[in-house]
Amino acid sequence: MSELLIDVRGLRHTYMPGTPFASIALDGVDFRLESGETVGVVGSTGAGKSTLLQHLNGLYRPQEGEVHVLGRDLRDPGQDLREVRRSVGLVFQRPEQQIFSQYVGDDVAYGPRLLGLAGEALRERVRWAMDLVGLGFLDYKDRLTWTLSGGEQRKAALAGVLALQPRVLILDEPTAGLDPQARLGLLDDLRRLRAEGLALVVASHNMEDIALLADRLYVLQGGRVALEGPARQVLSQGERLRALGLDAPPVVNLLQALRDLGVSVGGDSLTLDEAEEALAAWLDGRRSP
Amino acid sequence: MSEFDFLGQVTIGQYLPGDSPLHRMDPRAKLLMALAWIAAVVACRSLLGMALAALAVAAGLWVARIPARFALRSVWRALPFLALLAVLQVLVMPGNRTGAVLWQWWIVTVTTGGLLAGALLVARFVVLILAISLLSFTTGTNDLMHGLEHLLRPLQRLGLPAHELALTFDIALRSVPLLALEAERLAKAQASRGGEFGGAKGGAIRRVQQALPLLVPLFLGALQRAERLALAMEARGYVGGRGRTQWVALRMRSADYVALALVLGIAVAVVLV
Amino acid sequence: MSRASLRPSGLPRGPFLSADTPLIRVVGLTHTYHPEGAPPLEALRGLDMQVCAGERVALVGANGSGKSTLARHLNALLLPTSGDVWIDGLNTRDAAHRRHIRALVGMVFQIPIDQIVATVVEEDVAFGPENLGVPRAELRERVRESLERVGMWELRQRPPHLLSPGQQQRVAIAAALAMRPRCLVLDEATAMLDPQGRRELWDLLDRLHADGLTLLYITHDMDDAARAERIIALHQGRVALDAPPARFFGNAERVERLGLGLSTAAELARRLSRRFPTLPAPLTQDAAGLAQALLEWRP
Repeated sequence: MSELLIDVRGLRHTYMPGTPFASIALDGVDFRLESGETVGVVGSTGAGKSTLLQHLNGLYRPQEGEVHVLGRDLRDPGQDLREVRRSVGLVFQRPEQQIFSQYVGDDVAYGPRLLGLAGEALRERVRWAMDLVGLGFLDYKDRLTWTLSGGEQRKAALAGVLALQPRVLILDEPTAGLDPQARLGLLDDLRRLRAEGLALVVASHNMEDIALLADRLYVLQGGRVALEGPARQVLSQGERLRALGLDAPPVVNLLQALRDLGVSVGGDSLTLDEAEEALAAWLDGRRSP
Repeated sequence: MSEFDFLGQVTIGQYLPGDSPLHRMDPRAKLLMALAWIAAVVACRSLLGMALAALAVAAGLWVARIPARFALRSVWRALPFLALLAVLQVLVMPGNRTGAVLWQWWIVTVTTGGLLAGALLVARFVVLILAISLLSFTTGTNDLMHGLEHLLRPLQRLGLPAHELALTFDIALRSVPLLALEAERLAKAQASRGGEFGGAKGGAIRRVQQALPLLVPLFLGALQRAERLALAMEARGYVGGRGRTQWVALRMRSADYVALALVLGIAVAVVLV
Repeated sequence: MSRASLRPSGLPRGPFLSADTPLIRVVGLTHTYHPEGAPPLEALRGLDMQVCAGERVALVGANGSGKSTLARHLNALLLPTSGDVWIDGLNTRDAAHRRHIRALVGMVFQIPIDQIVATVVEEDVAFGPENLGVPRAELRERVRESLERVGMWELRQRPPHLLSPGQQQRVAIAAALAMRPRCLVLDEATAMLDPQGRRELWDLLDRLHADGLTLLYITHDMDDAARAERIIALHQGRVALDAPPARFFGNAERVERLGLGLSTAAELARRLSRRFPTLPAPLTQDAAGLAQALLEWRP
């Protein structure tokens, strides 16, 4: 039984309207998120990804169009947007740049404290959030934030948002700037969150990340939805994606290249695991003459 | 307008590209004009002179084709502060107790002299803000820097690091919109963590409280950016102003001299009237 | 600084000059950082390395292996704690040659906008040669040449912060090219670009390399590394592995011990060879090599 968590219709947004610097960021976008699913948002720089994401957690009231988040209508001037921001967590690009507390524990506690938690309940919430991202509570709570590695800082920032216990988690370029090991660690965390039932929205340039995480995908260009559908379907359209300034995941491109060279492997693999199976099947097929 | 639209609210340091006579003028002339203007407005003592100055600036904005609403935005921001200053001038400053007494209560005396001083103060600030905005609207920070450097160059023989100063000024001015953007980003990120920002319709104290957590990351970010820029400059062989050649060549045309003379004339008139 | 010492650059060396005179020679390079309130950090420990003119080298390594530190030694942004770095025969410690060395080795950094100095594209490209004291007429020529080479001439009067990150990186490359370098060092220059930006940048780098420019690029992307002629892997401040991609990825366990991954093709080859032991090793770590291995397989 799935629930429609976010419903966006005909969303338009112009930056600095009425000035000589006005620019249209979103030009009529429809978007849906149902409970339990992970939706990817891709598009080249300037396509409108970040603007769309910032509407989904109530940072902006819609200028034109409708945005319904967890049953709340964001066009309603009486709607307290802070409430929306606490039930939909948005993690910005390079969130470690937004850490402002000295100690990790304090920083993670910032959100829940504002929610009114205190004492033991606060501690528990912080412990819970830190465990979710793999930062042991006792080990890390008194560490100085600036002494953490890039990957650890990223996790701490993520814990800070998770500590609000949002029903939806939105991530803007979650693995940007991370070295490969930190990236894999973070992807594992996200998959675990997904398994626990959290609905995710992920915006990324990294097509491999999208292939690993997304069930459905929106491709933005020039503030509009150029392509959408099940991830598998969208990501296999290499030509189309390249024309939109993006690309298919490396595995898709590699398999296509193999096909062009005479290896007629079938299927629509997106990830290394799937490609391995597909190629193994192809090799098995060559066994019997 | 969204509560997060910082950049739209910061107009100093922003350049509005255009093709008006003011845009095309030599930056050295514009800098000298601005200097003369500031001196004149500060020295002016009469409302008539101030009115003349205001008229001249308005004419300048019109010639440069700057939309009035945009120009007035920076004035709007400063208004509460100005109002406070004006009130102080009128009510409290003893030196202004000249002319007829209009109202008296305890230590507070309102005189015509006081009112005049208050009005002059507000007018002075408004004209100054508009004039400086006019300069930055019509002159890219780039041209400003080149103009400044060329003006300071004769002083280099006396040991003044003209290029370094001009570069510092340029980077500082250029950073204003960048910092506004960065602050916007930080504010949004903190609002997304359940922060109070943008939610409470609080008074001034509240808003300062909200802004405090932004300061540390903003500062850190600015310092890190500065380090990266310095590294890039060194990588391209920058070692200061000595031995450098110049891409840009500035040349004053007769139109520039005429405009300069005109503005100097008006400036003198403003002071003397 | 004499103008005569600025030799023409950007062109491949002629046949008369010894082919094995390296453009970059690093001998026993050690670099120790002294962060405040913390113990000294030895980022490079007696590192040796050579790069010849015209080579295309990928520099890889886990975080903390010393890659960026090494890169900054190559144009004298950092000076050795001990050991030597020779660029085209000039020692980086020699202050008299510093500007020349910085002209010979251009650097492009990770965050596009933070390396751009001026507020107009063409002025930023002029910044480097201005520092070299290049006279105005030649300045104009160099700026035009460099911007055309990267395909940004039409946008020469734009403010850089209004360009896309991919365009900004191309401006940064033009700015380096205007100094007539023989080598470009790129420190994760594609990390912040979208797929199109990355494609355009690689097209440009391919062209520059074909024209004789030496390329050395730091990357975390093993598929990008596989496009190099040679991969140098750093580990704890030393060169741990230095080989062409085919040989580099051939020993998967060794690569993983260095905290690195394999290219997509190499990873698939490895996994399949576990299940199909008679699968021949791909001769190259790309689609062509993998395809050949797959087609030649006999059970």
